[in-house]
Amino acid sequence: MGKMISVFSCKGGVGKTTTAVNLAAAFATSGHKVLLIDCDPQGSAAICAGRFTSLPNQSQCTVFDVLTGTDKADTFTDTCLSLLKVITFPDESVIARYNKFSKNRRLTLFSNMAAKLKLKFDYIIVDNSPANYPITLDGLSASDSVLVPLQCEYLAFKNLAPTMKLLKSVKQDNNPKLKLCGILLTMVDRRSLVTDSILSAARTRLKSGLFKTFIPQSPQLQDSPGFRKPVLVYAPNSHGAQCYKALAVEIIEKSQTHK
Amino acid sequence: MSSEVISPEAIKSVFSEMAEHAGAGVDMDKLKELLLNEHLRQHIDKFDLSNGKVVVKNNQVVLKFDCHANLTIPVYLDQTGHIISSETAQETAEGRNADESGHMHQHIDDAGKHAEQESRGF
Repeated sequence: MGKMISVFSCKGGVGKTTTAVNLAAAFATSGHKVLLIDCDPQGSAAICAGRFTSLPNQSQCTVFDVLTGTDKADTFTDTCLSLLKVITFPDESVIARYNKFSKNRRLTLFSNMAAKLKLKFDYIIVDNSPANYPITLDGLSASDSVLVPLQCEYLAFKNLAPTMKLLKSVKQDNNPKLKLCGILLTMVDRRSLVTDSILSAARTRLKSGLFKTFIPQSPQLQDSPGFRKPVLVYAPNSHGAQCYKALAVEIIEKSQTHK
Repeated sequence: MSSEVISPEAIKSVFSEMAEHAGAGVDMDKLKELLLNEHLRQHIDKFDLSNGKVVVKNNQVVLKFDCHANLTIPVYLDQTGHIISSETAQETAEGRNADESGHMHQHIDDAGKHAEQESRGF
């Protein structure tokens, strides 16, 4: 049975999409069947994962197709990695229809979709928008765990509290089984004056909630979206790629310890 | 026929990646202290490394960086228009920097405290 991990933070620009794409790629390159769900209207995750299709956008399988079981529901889009598939975010008119569904219906659709996908994939990684769209909260409500990227700078650290508060309310109201997969420090730059202070405060305050692995500031991580490839394909030996591989290993080990 | 078997761009990219990794791992506080002791006797406000590349220096292959340092020389004038002695000014500046640094650590710890409180329950 697969695991559904949502990548979420209330703050934009903290490395959600980079983390969702490269964590998905790290699982796929280590032999796991992975589905990346792009739940952000910006649609960046599918692009960064190296979406590989000749179909026009409107013919590709979207989250809505899988949720409602249309005839496109099983045609996941290929990427540059054979074990990594993606489903894209639907266009605005489809989302407007989705938002008109009752909350109960949306939650049921999402949990049914998660149950079906977990039979086909080892890992389902959901890239979310920082905004509280219904589809974001519904995705969190159907996830097994949530990974929170934390950019290593003061404002992002300050915004961690509201993110955790929102996640706690999702857990209390809709998904009591939701676990914290972990908080991941991203864009760590040892040259910055605040870095050591944030690393120290995060380790003291967040304890086991914080991943041991952290993601450094890396030119390859910045460049890879331009080539429409995960960093694990674009620069597999780079420090950034190695850190995402280490993160995948840490998540697998953590889940085995908690069994 | 050209004897080139790998593009110079590929070699350059490997060197630049290596320099980038080395630069990110430099202990900036220690470097600043060493530079201060060796060359400079002033307070440095901003300190950064860029343009890491591999060069030959003193018959060995080394990493060369451009070190950018903003020098600020504080000048203190008292209410009678006199300059306060450099020793006193230095003590005042050090006190101010220690205060600012302390505030920064406090702000970060407060943010951590709030995050810790909100994380309870997971």
